[in-house]
Amino acid sequence: MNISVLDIAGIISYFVATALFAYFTRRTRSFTEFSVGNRKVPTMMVFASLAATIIGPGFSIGFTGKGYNSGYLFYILALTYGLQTVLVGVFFAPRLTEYTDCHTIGDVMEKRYGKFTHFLTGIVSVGLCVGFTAVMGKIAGNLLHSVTGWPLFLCIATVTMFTAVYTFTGGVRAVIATDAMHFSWYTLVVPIMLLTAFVKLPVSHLELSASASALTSGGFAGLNKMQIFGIMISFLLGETLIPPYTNRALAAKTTSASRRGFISAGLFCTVWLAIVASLGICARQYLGPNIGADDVFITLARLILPSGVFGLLLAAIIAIVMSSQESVLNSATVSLVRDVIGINRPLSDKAELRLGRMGTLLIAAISVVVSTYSPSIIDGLLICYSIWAPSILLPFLIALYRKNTVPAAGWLSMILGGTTSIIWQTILKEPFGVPAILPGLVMSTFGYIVGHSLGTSRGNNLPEPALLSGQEK
Amino acid sequence: MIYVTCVVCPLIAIGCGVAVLIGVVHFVEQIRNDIRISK
Repeated sequence: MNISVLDIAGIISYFVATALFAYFTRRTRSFTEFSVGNRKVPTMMVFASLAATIIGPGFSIGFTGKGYNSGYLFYILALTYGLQTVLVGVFFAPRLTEYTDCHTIGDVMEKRYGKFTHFLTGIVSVGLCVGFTAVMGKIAGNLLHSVTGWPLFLCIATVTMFTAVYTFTGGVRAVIATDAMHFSWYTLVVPIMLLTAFVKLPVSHLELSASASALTSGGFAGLNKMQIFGIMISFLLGETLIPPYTNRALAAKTTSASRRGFISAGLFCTVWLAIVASLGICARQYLGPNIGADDVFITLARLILPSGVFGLLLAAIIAIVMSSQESVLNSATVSLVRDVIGINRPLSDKAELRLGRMGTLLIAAISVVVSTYSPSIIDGLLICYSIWAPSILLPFLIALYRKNTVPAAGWLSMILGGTTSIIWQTILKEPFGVPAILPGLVMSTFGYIVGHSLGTSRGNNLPEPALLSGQEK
Repeated sequence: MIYVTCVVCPLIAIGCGVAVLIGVVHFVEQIRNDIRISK
């Protein structure tokens, strides 16, 4: 990539600013501080951190490519993602905030379904988060590699370890603070890039509108009804309450901070996706139809932004990747300590904190190796992605609303849903275009009903949530 | 429609970015206070 000294200065300045932020938010004295920020995170930070985690490379660079190829098609389909986040904010996040003694999804699951379901939840959570950390590291490493020319392994290790160091020292509070800083940065730079592209447009706004309409219609014509339904369901359920999002609900200061944070993030998501899709549509007017989807974002930026400002945009892309990577890294570590290592023996707070810190470095190192060693990491991530909703979602959501639950319902639903989804995706290769998430969810529901009918109830072992009695945390 | 997605949405996002920037300064100050108290 051909970049100027000014651009490199922009990138270095951004890394220095992030390091300073990390320095100011370092020091954690307890595991509760490390994992859920002492449950003192205000609305604005829940919103910013959640939105920053949601907006990864897929929802920025990837969506610009989608806009370039098929107009607003994917924006319309992905409205279900914003809807999902709003619904979680209204119905589930405030209930999660009530679990003041829980640090992870696994902790909540154990209260309703026992230790085995807790352990299964831990394995799925850690696997998913390690996969995400590896993919984010690879994307950011590739970017650094194209800027500096350093070996790819060194670039991936540099970015991942930089993230790991401040997650290691400051825990989730440092993650949330730096998330918010990253968020501010790219919500200033990327919209300014769109406004610049719109103002300098080589065609009239009427022609742009006609092009957007034609691309969107063409996009819809290229998909059948089942594919459209499958994509919408995947956006709706694929990432619902994955560990970093659940973690924000558990870390929120009050139930209303949690509710408002999730609702705002869902609404912001719909605004953001419109921006990046529009960027893709504008890019088509500048670049013609022959650019690879993944290169559209950078190629357009190089064309319309002056030197120095382009460096600031590269910093914004690194910010987008790092804000997602640090959140999943912290969630993976907390889940590893609470749901896997500490499952059978209660650990002291000091031991949990020490393990959490070591775990951060360990998971970062594993992610670096995984992302460079395996060429099919994306495939692995897709598997993690498609088993999340079928294995965890149903028993987890029921756990937030039902008090009389049956342990067998939890683990049977997880095993049946997860296995069905993996088989449907990897062995059967998604027959009839039906996405793996759908049969997975059907079997998860079946497993839950069978387990609930045949198993023995655990009874109510949780105090009445304050939410139900109209109080606030 | 194209003006909403290409002009209004970017302006909303910029507004959110500025609001969060102010919020994060306050949040970091709070963390610094907590660290000072716990010393």
